Amino acid sequence: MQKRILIATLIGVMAMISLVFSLVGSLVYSSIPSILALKSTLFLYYLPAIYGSLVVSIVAILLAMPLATGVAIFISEYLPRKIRSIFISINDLMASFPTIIYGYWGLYELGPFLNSTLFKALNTYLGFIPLFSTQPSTGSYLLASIVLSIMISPFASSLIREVYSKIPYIVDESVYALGLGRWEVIRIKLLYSRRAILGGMTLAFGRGLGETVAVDLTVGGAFSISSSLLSPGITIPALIANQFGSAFTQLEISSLFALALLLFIIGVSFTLIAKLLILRGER
Amino acid sequence: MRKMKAISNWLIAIIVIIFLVAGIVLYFYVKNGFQGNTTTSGSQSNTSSSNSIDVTKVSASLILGGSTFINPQMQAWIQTFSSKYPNIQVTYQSVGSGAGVNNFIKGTYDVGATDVPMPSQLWRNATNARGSVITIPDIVGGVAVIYNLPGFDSTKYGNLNLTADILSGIYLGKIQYWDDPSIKAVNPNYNFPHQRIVPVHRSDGSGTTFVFTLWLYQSSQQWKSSGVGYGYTINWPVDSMGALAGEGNDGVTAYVKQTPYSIGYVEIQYSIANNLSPAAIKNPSGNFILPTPSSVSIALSSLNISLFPKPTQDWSNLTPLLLNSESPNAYPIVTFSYLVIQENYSDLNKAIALYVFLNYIFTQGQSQGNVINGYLPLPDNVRQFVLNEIKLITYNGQQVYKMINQT
Repeated sequence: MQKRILIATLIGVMAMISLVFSLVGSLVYSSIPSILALKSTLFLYYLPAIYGSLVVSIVAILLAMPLATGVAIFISEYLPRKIRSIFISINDLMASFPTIIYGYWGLYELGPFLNSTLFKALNTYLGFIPLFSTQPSTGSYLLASIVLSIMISPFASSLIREVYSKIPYIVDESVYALGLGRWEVIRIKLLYSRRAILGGMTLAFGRGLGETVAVDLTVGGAFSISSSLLSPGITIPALIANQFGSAFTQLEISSLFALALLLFIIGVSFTLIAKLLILRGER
Repeated sequence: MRKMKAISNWLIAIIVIIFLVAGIVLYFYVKNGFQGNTTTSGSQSNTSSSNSIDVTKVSASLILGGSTFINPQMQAWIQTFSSKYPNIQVTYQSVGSGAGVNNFIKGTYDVGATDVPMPSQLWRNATNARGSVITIPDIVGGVAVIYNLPGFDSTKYGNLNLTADILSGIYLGKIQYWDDPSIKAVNPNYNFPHQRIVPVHRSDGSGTTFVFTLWLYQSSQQWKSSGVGYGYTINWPVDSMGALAGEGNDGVTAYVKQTPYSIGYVEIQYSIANNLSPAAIKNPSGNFILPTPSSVSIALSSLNISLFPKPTQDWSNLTPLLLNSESPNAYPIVTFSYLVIQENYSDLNKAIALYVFLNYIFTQGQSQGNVINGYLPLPDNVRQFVLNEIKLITYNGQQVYKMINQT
């Protein structure tokens, strides 16, 4: 019986590995023509998209991290047990919402609202900082980051909440026994779950990096690099989605695959960095 | 026990190998799979010798795909067509012109739909892969310029007038403010505010961008000498100056509507269907013309059909001939959307199904009730040309239209 289980799980693992290999293989294979054609300028050529992808997902993570952690703590520490499950299901529902809905909501509702309030204020009062130096545009890095952070924080928060709630109650009791308050309990429990927070953020970052529709609709689409978060830009997945339909020649298609490969490399290296950070934290 | 373990190790090793092989095979299958000729033909084959085949008895399936612009109209055509010929199954995949043409060349699609004729290189690839290829205009397209100018009321001040030189100045970043003297010169009735113009363009590769930039290239010396050129995707000089780019006609319209003092371009059909107020564009006769069904059809019905290429020739040079019509009331930025098909088939059912479907599109499909809101049917001269084109469809060298009995 054990053997059968072993074989059954092995089949699953092998299927997964071979799929990953064939996917990466096809990515590499298809991007060869453009890598050969552009050589070292490849990276430079796509710089606006690479820059945009990094800026949007990093800002989104910075915004999502406190949001997700805060929600997780609030749900497990302060909410009465009875209504906790309602909040948890609302949270999970948000994580499973189709991303295009977030995109259109960001474009038609959130964007115009933020443009006339927060973004305008940022530009008028903090305009001397390069980050906010341009007039708010209808689509921008910051708008995309905000929409993205709203999208990914439920995802990260449910992960954090799971780990946080698994910390034995004895920890709470011992902290209280020392005569400390709830704030200290939370701090200590956060320390316990810091790996989960980092792990959740890594997963959320991966999702944010690959997010296509919602970002495409809100980022503005301009193929340029700007230091200001309020100006429009472009991300790698948005560029691929936008250009794939009209890519006529072999080289055009191939360079889109090369972009996908770049995205894959960026994603993998960030996951590795996070893994290293977690390992270092353990020591 | 030990033996068991050895066997299970072997089993594991074999499974590992199987999956590695499966992975490699799967990869090559995916890589080459699309290139193989997919057979989507009908099950029974009609006898070819009989001189009249009952079309309603032909069963086949056709896969069309490409242009997103034609998609709503194509779906409407397919719907009415299917109710008449339930045995012929037609599907349309809205994947974009480039993918449509590439899938047609690879053999995945029976018909490719594209917003501009295939570029020469691809036309050669297509003829190499599928033999003689016919390019067929199927519906009228064009580009309308839309704007968001708070305080400007076209019922009070007249249409916003624009020229190719002004538009090229705006999209090159040389004209940056609404009160630029060149804009004032053609709109003397309105006192323009000193506000920055926000240009909006398409973020996706698009036939609309191709036609718009080709028109700028053809009509404005400034654009021509700037080196920006024309194409599906443009390296826009204004991108570094706060221009916006929206995905699809919806994306551009959303940005223009939400951004005060912005300007953008969309497909004419989209502008008509959504009641956008477009700008009037100066045509070669010096008149400022709004994009309306009549001004577009004037531009195309005055076309000299004898200048069209032969159906099986390279059509890539046709688009420039359609722009800037000399008729005094013609809108200058008009074009066609196209279908590309193979000329000769070895599958009789498919050839007949294709002929019947295309014949439907260009007869009843172009009539008032079957053209959906915003789309513009082909003018009669072009329609006649196209109906002759589809008669070229052959089954092993025999013309299909002669073989069928259409009721």
